[in-house]
Parts: sequence; structure tokens; C-alpha cells
Amino acid sequence: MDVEPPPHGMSPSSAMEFGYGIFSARYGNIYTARELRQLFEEACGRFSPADVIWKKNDRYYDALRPSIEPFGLASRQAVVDMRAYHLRKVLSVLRTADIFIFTLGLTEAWVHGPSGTVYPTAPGTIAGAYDAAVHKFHNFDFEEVYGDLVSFFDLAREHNPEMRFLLTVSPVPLTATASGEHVLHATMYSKSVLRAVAGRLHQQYPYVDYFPSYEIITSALSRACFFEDNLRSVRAAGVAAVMDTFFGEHAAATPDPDAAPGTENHECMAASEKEAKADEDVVCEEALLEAFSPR
Amino acid sequence: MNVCVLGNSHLASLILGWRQIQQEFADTKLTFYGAPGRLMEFFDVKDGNLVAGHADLRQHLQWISGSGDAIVTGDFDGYVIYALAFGIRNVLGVFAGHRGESLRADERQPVSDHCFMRAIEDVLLGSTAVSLIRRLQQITDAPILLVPQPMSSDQDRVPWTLRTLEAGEDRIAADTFSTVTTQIADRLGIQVMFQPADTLTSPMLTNSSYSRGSVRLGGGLTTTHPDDDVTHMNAEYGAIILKRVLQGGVFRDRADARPMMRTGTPGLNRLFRQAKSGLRRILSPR
Repeated sequence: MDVEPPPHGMSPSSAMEFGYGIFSARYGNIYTARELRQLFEEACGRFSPADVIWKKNDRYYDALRPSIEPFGLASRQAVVDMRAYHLRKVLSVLRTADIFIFTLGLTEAWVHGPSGTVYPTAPGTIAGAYDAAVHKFHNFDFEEVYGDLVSFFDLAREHNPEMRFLLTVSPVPLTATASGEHVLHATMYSKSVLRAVAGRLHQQYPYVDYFPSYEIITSALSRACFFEDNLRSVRAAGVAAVMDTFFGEHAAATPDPDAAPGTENHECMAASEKEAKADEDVVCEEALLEAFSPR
Repeated sequence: MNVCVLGNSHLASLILGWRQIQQEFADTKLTFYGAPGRLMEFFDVKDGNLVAGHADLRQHLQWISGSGDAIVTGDFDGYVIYALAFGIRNVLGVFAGHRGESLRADERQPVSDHCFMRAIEDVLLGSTAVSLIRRLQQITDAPILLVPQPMSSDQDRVPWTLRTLEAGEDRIAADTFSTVTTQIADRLGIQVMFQPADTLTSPMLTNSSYSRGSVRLGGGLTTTHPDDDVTHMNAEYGAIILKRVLQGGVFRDRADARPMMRTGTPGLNRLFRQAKSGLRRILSPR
């Protein structure tokens, strides 16, 4: 599904720069289970995020997906209009998708304290301003991630009773942490929580499956051969190994080679990593896009 | 003065138009090369020439040029790139599904003006015209003049055209096309001649009198297009275009080929003004 396709004739590289063609809607990256939950609750009118318009150099940004418009928008109203449109499309995904794929990326997030709104990036990085009195760091634990996903499943199946879910865990380690721990320690905590929650939900619910892309990439059996030299970014060969394994088990889901770009009937809603540098994200997402594109 | 004119199916009107006016330009020789569709993208650069890399292209070039060869040399005093999917009609698809911040709010997907302008730029940069210009610049430093594809006739009823007209966006579509085209021309180091205003009945439609009797590029230029063809123009139109091209002085002195002729829609519109800073970045060399 692609309910927010790019403009007609836009090149793939431009489309990616403007947040198109990566996910089933123009979400931007959804890193945490709480972001996923709050997005769909917002689309259903059950949550109102706070401080959703960030400003930088007289340009305005959607704080909940600040990277999809790299140059921002000219007015606050434009952000409001775009978000309203986006939420209608998100709701259409909820109502029509057969399978919802979500990659759990992070447990660490920045939160608007008074409202509990979770942002995908720290205020003051891409846009906005950090206010120590308002913005808080939060590292979600097992119960919180588990609870957010269960709430999301319940909401989704309330609108779409036959919907099934496929969970994966991002293999990309953290570049930095705000937890105060060593980044290695923080990475292991984050991935352990996310993997444990995914496993628990898979065991508990017949409509939840788990696909081991995390294990394929990070297992000692792979000898880190799927990572770039920085031991963080996933090589295209790693993505290919994951996707070949996936489509090898789900032949019917193999993209139609005749489908036009941007109209593939895939259900990719994977989120990637918050902490990735922009260029590394592009490499990873380009590889994913390539895996799903007509061959 | 030897000028090379390259185009797609629209080239037929220029060839026929030239037959009408060539006696007025006794010191000018025009050589035409063309092929329909996107065949003109299939050139290879070899030994300072463009060589047809596709049998169909070779066949078209041979009969159109009349010289029996299928090679475009770099020896001409100037080159005219005509149509080749570089036109306002090609960008109407962007307007159909998306709207920049400056456009009227409706059910289309809202995007930033930056995103909107980028899409238009991508459409035009992906045209056969730009592909051919880039190849030509590998074999010659002679002036290149881009003449965009003629706007469709005012009888055009295809959905994208109708939608643009009904939304009252014909002026902004024309201005946006003009702005992005000028930026692309500057970036490529070429010149551009927009469609003469006196051939238009609205900012994005051609007077239908110029589309009556248009002919196909093939079969000795004797087969007319169906009556409902709204995109191709006739010999009269071709004559107007070539007169403007040759009177514009672009090729008269290769060392002083400066005047940029603009006869279409006027300057910058609000959409462009708001996106101006973004355009600078978008259109900078990548």
C-alpha cells in the first residue's frame, strides 16, 4: 500500500528526500511503540498531540515527522493542513491493510512532559527548541512497549478485525544515548526490550508474527558481514539477505515486477533508526526501497 | 549558417513550415533530425558525433535528414531542440495529484512549494529534450536553443488539462513551467524560446487553428493526424516558430549568443517567489 504517493514524475531520489516511497504513508520514521500508538490514536481522534508545530528560520515543521519536508513549510496553517491530510490517510491504512508490518527501532525518546506527546527527534535538532522544563527524556521499558503495542493492536482490530501484524526489530545499534549509560549498554538494553516484547506478543497472539531480520543481521553466525565498516549501517547485501528470506517464505507477497514505481502492493511500514546519520539512513532506506521495487 | 533541428513527432510541423519560409532565409540551411516517442534518447556519443543506437532511430534519421546517414555531427553553428516531451502538458500531472502551499486547498495531497517545484523540475529534467541536450554538449559547444513542446490546442479535453482549467490554475501552471524551464536552461547553459503569445488563446492552450491539418512524422509527411489530435501543430505554426528562432539572433554569432527570448507568460508568480530560496538549492548542480 502507498496511500501518499509522490507527485507524478518525481524522481526516486527526490521522492526519498521528501519522505515518499519508503512507508505506506508519509509517516517519516516511527521509532518507538509509543509513537506508533499515538499516531493511530490521533488518526482515530483519540489523542491530541501537543506542540506539533516546530519552527526554524521562519519555516514551520511537523514535529511528529520533521524530516519529510526538509525545507519546512511557509506557515503554521500549511503544517496543520498537511497533518490533517496525513491523518486521513493513516486512518485509511488502518481500515484497509491486511497485514501491518512494524519494525521496532528504539526505546529512547523525547517527550513533551505535560501532554506525554512523544517526538521522533529531540526538540531543537531538526527544528523546534529544547525546553528543559517541558521536554523530558524517557527510556521505555518492557511493560510500556508491550502495553503500547497491545493498545495499538486493539485499536487496529477495532477498525479492521482481520488485520494481522508482523513485527521485526531493527538491527541498527544506537550511535548515541541520552540514558547516561555507555552506548553499548544502552543498545543492548533497547534491543533486548524490543526483542523480548516482540517475542512475547508473537507467543501470546495468533495474529502477531515475528520475522527475525534482527537475528539474521546481528547473529554471531553472520560474523558482522552484513554491517558496513562502521559496524552500524547495514550493507545492501544484508538487506537483500533479509528480504530474500522473507519473500522465500512468503512467495505471494513478492512485489509484482510489472508494477509501476510507487504503486507496489507491499505492506511495508518498517520504521528505522532515530539515531542514524542522514546519509546512513538514506543508504539503509534506499536498500529497502530497492528490495521492494520492481525487479 | 548551418542549424541542426532535433525533435520528436512534433518536428513534422517545423519541417513543413520551413518549406514555406526557407526562401526568406537564403543564407540559412536547416538540417532536421527526428524520431517519434522517446527514440531520440537512443544516441551514442562516438568520435565527436551522435550515432543512432537503435535501428528504428536510424531509419527515421535517414529519411528525415535526407542525407542517408544517421549521424548528428558537432559541426553545426547551432542546434534547436524542439518539443521532445519538454512541455507544460508534461507537468500537469504534478498539479493533478498534489498542491503546493500556494495553490487552492482541495482534496489533492498538500506538499511544500519546495516539494512541488522539485517534482516539476524532475519531470522536465527527465525529458528526452534534456537527455539529448546533455549528449549534444558532449560533442559541441555551439549554442543550443530549447523550444518547448507546443501547448495543446484549446480543444484539449484530457482530464489533466480540464482539471487545471477548471481549477483556474492555468496561469500559475504556465508561470511555474516558465520559471522552472528558465532555471533549467540557465543551469544547462542553453537558451530557451517560449511559445509566442500570439499563438495562444489562454496561458496554457494554443489556438486550435494551428493544430488543424497537422501531419505525422513519417510516410513522407503526408498522413494527417486524426481530427481529435490536440497536441501536434501544423505547418503554419512551424513556420512561425522557425521565423522567431531565426530572427532571434541566437545563432547569428556564436560568440555573442546572448539574448534570451521570452514571449510566453510573464515573470515570477507567487508560488515561485515563496519557493525561490528552495529553487536555488534544488537547481544547483547535483
